[in-house]
Amino acid sequence: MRDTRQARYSLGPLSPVDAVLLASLEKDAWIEWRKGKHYLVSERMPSPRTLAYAKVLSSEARLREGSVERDPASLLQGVLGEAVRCPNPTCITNQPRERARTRFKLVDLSRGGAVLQCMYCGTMITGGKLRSLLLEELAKHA
Amino acid sequence: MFKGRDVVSILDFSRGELEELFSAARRMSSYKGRMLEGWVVALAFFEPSTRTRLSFDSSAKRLGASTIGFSSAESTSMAKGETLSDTVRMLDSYADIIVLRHRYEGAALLAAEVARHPVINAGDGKQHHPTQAMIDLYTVEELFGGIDGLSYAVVGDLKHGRAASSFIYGLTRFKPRHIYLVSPPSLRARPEVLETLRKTGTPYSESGELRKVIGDVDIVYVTRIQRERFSNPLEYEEVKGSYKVTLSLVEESGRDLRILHPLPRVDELDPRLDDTRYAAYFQQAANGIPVRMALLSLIAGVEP
Repeated sequence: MRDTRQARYSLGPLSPVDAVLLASLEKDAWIEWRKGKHYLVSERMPSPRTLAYAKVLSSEARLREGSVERDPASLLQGVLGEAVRCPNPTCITNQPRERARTRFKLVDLSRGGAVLQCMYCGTMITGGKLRSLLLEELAKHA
Repeated sequence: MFKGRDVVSILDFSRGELEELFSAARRMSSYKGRMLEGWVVALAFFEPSTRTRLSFDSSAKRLGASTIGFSSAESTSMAKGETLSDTVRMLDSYADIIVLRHRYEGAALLAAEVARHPVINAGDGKQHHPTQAMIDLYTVEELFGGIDGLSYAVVGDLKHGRAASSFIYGLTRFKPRHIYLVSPPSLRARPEVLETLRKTGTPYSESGELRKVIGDVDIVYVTRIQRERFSNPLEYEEVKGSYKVTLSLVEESGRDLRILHPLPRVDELDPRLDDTRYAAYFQQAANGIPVRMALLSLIAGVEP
């Protein structure tokens, strides 16, 4: 059957693994392969969480809407609420029954690239760590 | 502006605010009065403490406030499974200011979100100890007449030590000439601490040996290895006793330097240093009173 979906937004380039990980988070998004690179494409604007993750996973990632290309970080404001768990086991957000929900901010590193930083314990999540946390979550729901 | 404010991290304070605090602390040295009469300060220490708890207790009482609290998680309903949030809510209705120490990073921020009254972080896991950093910076100012332009060596467990991290964070609010971060490789400063140094343009370098840098240092800030923060006891055994600041090392440096230590100490400081001009750690501990008195009064909105 012919795919009638319109690719309005394109987020990338991403590695194949990162494209699959982000596609698992974005309902109705799919992956396109162009000139040897992978892109997450969708009819709807990707969520702030997906934009933040794309920025951490790939410093080259850009969001393209038609002919307009933007840094995903420029579309984010404030704190990211719905996000991966903090990898620090002694972070208050990892204590069962405490009501602290994970909150992260996207931080541009002085040496280039970006990380997620836990608002509670300050732990920085690099691209490599984020990838393994997302893989863990994906495996849990597989 | 301090009135009604939470004190979670020293990074929340500007240089101007810290200078305002130091100015108030100087006035507190001779203060005799009861400006906080009728106030209740809760001292919620879920982790062991000697200096911090007692100096907050003494500071509050010297201002005329009364104190309530506990000094271990075992003596509270948390031992029965109560959450931190519930305990803080209860304290919030019994006290006007909550001073909190907890083993988990982020506990103070969570408490500040839950409580209506101001929360002062007296140490959250390995992350922040803002009032210790305020005392440390105040002591440097007392010793040298200022904080700018000096060279610092921060020595020890920079990975788990909240006092060391907070002191480094505090220095980024000033203009140190250089900060040497001296630690065994496995106890290097955490990435977020290094990133803060880079972002603020604070000159720093990492070293494995104090001997290599002590000839360029005005302040040696020593910390113990934080045994209680190691998840694997074998890792602690590998690094324990791996550094020691001796009298001969200090004398050989040829510097008229001063040594700070947030205490308690284990074996990282040569006891022969205690009676020399180099030792400033007892003065530092004594400064806990005027600085914490000043902080409590400013948060209460009462000018000393």
